[in-house]
Amino acid sequence: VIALDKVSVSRKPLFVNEVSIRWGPGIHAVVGTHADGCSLLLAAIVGAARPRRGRVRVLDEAPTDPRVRPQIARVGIEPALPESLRVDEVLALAAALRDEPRRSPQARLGLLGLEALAGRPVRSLSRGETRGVALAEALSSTRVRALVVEEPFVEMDARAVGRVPEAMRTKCRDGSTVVVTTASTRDAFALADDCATLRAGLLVADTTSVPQLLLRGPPDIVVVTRNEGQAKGLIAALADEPEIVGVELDANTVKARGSDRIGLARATGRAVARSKVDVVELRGSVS
Amino acid sequence: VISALGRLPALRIARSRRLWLGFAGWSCLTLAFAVAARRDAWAHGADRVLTSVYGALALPFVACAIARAACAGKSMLSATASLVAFGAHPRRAALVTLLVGASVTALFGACLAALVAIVAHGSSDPPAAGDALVSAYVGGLGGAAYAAWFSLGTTVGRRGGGRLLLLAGDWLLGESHSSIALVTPRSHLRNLLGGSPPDGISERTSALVMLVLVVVCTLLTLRGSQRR
Repeated sequence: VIALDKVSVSRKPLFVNEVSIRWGPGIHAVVGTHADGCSLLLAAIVGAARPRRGRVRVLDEAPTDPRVRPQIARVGIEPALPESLRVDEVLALAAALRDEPRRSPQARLGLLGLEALAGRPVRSLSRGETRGVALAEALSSTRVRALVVEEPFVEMDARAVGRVPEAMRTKCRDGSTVVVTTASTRDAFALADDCATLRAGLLVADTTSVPQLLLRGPPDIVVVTRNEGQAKGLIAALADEPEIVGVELDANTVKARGSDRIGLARATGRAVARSKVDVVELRGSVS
Repeated sequence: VISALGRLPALRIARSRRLWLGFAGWSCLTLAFAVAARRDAWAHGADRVLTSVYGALALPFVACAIARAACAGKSMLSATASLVAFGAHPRRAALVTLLVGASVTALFGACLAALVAIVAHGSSDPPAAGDALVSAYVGGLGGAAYAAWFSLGTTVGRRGGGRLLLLAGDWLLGESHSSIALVTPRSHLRNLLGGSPPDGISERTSALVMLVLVVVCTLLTLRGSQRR
């Protein structure tokens, strides 16, 4: 239902680079933070961000196709609901725009236990309530077949949180596709059938279980140097190595990440030799 | 779908207390001048009130306030985001928002202009009924031009602050009688209401240029409302 083919998209300072993945009916998770490009990836899926390269297909069409648009829903961290309307009016407006029959707002909101919000003006809702209403609209829509949700358990109305997983599963039983992004591996596997990991804009893992996910993380090497000055020198040397995909500095400790173990070890060795640092400790690990 | 798209800006306008206060305030001020013109028996009462208080102040400020209310004080991109989230095409949502604003502004402009033409009618003005009709047409056209002008402003800035830039630009450039004034609605509205023409052009040309302004500003607004 959702297919990304070598999609690269950027919106400063975020970027997503050459992501290829296909999702069919079911719940799918992308583990990563906003800084890793998760929200940008969702924006590309719904057509709100134009890819620089690659192709996005939702329901076999471009997400901006007028026939597909009403069948896609996105619930971001700050969903855009029209603040001048009441919640029941928002649901009526959404039904009209999605070209679906109008139903009782209580019934639609009741899916997530939010029926009490039906008569409230949108501007009076908290962020959690707003997200709950946006998610209830998307989940209860009969037209929506592709739903993307950012952090489904964060800033979500307390009444709705417990009902979200079941409501999403019910939605998927109709053949819909739900993609959630979350920074929590636990949340991802509590909800989803499979899980992809996005780190610094790159898709680094695509698995179906937690142990696999942990095993498939990028390898890293930790180098403890004599002092902070040496650590900074090592960082500068590592920056010239193409095999290094990420570095972290913590006082006199440098953690380098690479796409493969051998390349990472060689690159770190070259950087250590070039920067002439005194290595106190060197250890490799898999995170 | 079009009526559903129009419902949101229409409700935003209908529920904006600030806008209704603006409507009331500017209407009262303009009509107060019209009453004063009648009481003091100004020979060209209708022309003078229409070119000064109505054309130079009331209509531009009310049009700016309507454009603001139709977008709920946000940029066009943000104002239409909720409609786009429910599946509307961004350009269609922006076009309908602009059209709703333009309809309300044109209606306000036409009604107030006709009222002023009747109330402030002076001995040297054309017959009252005909003058009211012509004033309503000019007010409606001017309202539509200003609505498109300020809608273009809503595409500039995170909160659509470009509206105020265009209000200032209209004031500064439109006051002049040179060719630079041709790009502003103000100069053409003044010409059509019986004031001095910009660059010596005829009233008919001014009306045509206003229509062109409406089309150009609408196209630029649609271009600015496209997601990047």
